[in-house]
Amino acid sequence: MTRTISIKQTLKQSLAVARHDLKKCRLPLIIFAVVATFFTTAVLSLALVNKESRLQSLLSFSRESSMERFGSVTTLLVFLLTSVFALIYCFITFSYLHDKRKADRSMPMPIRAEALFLTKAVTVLLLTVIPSLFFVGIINIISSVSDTALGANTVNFLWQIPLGALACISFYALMAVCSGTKANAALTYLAICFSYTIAAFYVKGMVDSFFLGVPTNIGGTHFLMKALNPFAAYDGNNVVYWLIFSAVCIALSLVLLRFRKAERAQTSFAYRLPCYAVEALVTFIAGMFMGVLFGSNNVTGNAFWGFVFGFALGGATVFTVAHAILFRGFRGILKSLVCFGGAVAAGIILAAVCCFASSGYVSSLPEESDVKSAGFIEFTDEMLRSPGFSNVTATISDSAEDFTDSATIKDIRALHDTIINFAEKRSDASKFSGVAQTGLTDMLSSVLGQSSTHYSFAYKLNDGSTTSRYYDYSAIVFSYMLEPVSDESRYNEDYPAAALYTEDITKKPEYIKKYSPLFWMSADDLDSIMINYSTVESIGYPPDDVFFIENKGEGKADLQKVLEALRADAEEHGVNDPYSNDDPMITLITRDSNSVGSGSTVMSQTVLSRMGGSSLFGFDLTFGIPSSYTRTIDALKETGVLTENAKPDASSKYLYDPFYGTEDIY
Amino acid sequence: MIEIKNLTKRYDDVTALKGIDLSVADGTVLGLIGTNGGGKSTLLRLLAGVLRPDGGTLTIDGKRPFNAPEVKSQCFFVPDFPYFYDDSTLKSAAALYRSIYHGWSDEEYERCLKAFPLDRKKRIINMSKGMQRQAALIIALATRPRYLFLDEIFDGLDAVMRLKLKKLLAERIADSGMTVIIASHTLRELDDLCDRVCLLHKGELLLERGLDELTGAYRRVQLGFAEAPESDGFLAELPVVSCRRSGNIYNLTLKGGEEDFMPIIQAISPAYISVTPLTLEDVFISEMEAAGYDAHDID
Repeated sequence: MTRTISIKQTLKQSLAVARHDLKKCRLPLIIFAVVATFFTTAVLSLALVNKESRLQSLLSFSRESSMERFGSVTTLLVFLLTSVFALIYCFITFSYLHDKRKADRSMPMPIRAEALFLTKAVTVLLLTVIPSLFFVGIINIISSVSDTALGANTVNFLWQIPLGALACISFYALMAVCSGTKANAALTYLAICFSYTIAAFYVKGMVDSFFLGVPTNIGGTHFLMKALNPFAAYDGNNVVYWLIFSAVCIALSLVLLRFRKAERAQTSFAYRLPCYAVEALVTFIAGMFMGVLFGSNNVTGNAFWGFVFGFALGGATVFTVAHAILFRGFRGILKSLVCFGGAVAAGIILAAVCCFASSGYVSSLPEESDVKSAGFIEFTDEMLRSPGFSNVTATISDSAEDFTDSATIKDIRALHDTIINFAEKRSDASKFSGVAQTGLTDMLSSVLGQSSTHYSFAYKLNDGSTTSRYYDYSAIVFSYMLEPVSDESRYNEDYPAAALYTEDITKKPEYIKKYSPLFWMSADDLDSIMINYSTVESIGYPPDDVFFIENKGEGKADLQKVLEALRADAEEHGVNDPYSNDDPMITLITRDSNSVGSGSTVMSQTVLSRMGGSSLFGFDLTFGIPSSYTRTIDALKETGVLTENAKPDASSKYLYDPFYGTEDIY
Repeated sequence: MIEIKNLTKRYDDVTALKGIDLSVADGTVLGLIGTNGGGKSTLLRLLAGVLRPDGGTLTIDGKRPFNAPEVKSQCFFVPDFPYFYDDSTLKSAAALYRSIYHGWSDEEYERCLKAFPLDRKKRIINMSKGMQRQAALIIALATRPRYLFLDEIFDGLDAVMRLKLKKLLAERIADSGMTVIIASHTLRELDDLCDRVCLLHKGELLLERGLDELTGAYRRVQLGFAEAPESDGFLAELPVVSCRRSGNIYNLTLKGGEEDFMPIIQAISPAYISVTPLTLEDVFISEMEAAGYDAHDID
């Protein structure tokens, strides 16, 4: 004589459980509220006293610096808080799957296991997202009311936070179902998130170092590098992937839950897959670390065998320790040996391919007679962050048709040959050495947002095929030997291997028109332009003749006029380097919203780069204005920046008031 | 009606229950007694749907309880260590269970609160062990379950509360025909409460019988001899469950009624004979001795 439970009753039960879980998480919620309130108050206070524009702060003579940086850091710390508190809520809420006493309480309740699980997952999501969005909303309001740049990116947070939280909570839920204890759930969750990314960096480091020229660095860090790291979902990139990832995690959790034995509470694992994944990943990372160390030091007299020895040594040690931690002893270690074996096999195969099959790829350079057209691009950080170059692969491929004249093709080949000559001279040990260095640089770049120049070479061959190479200057082994110079006269004899003299190509009008930001940026991308009649040496000092034309109101048309004139001059005379002469300078300042991505990566980038004084919100480009730039000079006269005899106009409405905001300087 | 057929449950390498067969009619109060690790709590968890059987079948009203809300809504399980959240009060716990169990009765809740007068606004985890059990019982009875599974419920309750509990259960059973299964080591309490008793040892069901039948089926017999018998051969003729000899005194536990063994005993002419019925505890100890679980076997 049993009674069917209706959907309405199930919903009522779910709500009751959710309410109860909410109470259970009251303490962390209060802590979150206190911390978030502190930071919001800080943002509010700083916003009220710090109303200077970024344009002014660029001159570094205003009061910005530490206060603005703190404000920006504070705004973006919401991601860190969200990530940490999501983990805390998950830890508490999913513990009913691990704690025997809690299982005795929850399992006999007349709610289907799947409904209970989903209720808890949704509760954690709401617990995580609602308070975070609440505080982001407040920051947005403060930002718009106070007209500061603090919250420029926070509008995106409104969907980036839910997306990141969804991915993280779904993944934790899966780990919770697979684990037998709370500690193992949290451990496997964190271990997979971070060790996967580190392992991916090692693989990439090997490929980068051995297959020099392989286009693995294109467009920053590929999403595959973070595919099992749901923290990356906070970036807001690859939305569809993260939605599918979350759905798969939840669906898999529900399926596994059906077959999960409740008595797995307080045993190590209900399903061993995550533990095998952790064991394999940490074995691989430790193996790679020791392998690269031993390989680069020729420990056995041979780089490859040094790597193998180091890999086995490091991998075996960490595998044993990891198993002991995850299983509270060595029970089942024989079953886990397959993970160890798999990781070792993967490491050795990777090293073998790199050591014995990379030379052909590295030294490959098409014969001049086979080349129909060629292209070379010196990628700057601004280009890589520009939406117009988001598909770098396609840009490189397209560049193969840039130059058809034999002289330029010859120049491009010669430049490429310089790099290849260097690359061919490297020993396996130095390549292993490069793995650690490039890997470290990559990791630092992804975290700190460090940027460097990248070079691409592309060739369209007579048979119709295209071949390309992509070199990252940040690869330290590379930069030690090859010094890019902007002027042939600056060729440095201290660098005996070669010098990369790129300006034969990059100063060509065709190149400038296609790849200079001056041309691919639209006026809408600009926040303002600054015209500085001080000299280079005076940067950092209170300006004498500085003009700002802001991209709003009546300045909008003037800015457009000056930009078009500057483009026309640059196209005709080439881009002028402001740092090689005393010409007046014109600086294009982009809007903050040009920043690509956000979330966890941008958070860390912004935090650290702002601490270091640079800006990742937007960027600024400075050009010199030589006397040959007649169109630009005329435009500046028309807008009232210059007088008729081309002198700075002291009565111009665009003249910057040197007394504003300077009291802190003196 | 609870039907259990060939029920088996394993935890990794350990078999907690081995092929249990049991049938519990509605309105029965079944006592689960047994040794430590005998499988009592496992059986209760299987009944409550916490665990999934590895073999055999377990049905309540013809349905398996694991992940079956419609069955679980008729049952309530009070584990040996009832779990409450840190900030749970009786009031907040009642609010949760009121929403979850459709059978919840505020009237019953208030009635139980009268029997077990607890502060409904006090944190349960700050209460004593016995009071926490009372809180769990109040919640359990307020859901008006048709099947109530209690694990070591008497543990921590004082004598008055034990009496109240037995009275409350008896009333509920009389009123609604509730079926109660109690696992306990406090055999004296079960003696008063149970209709039937199951004895579990090392995952096996050693016996399952009505309490009267069980206690009535055994006699404790003390025989005193003026001169000790030359051999214990006479014991072979008796239905001995356990035997302990101290000089000329024999302490025997015999199966069956007096009519079954008195003629044999009288035939060997002991100096005196004392025959008393067994308590549940006596039966338990005797059966355990027979199963090799000897309380006197301390080296």
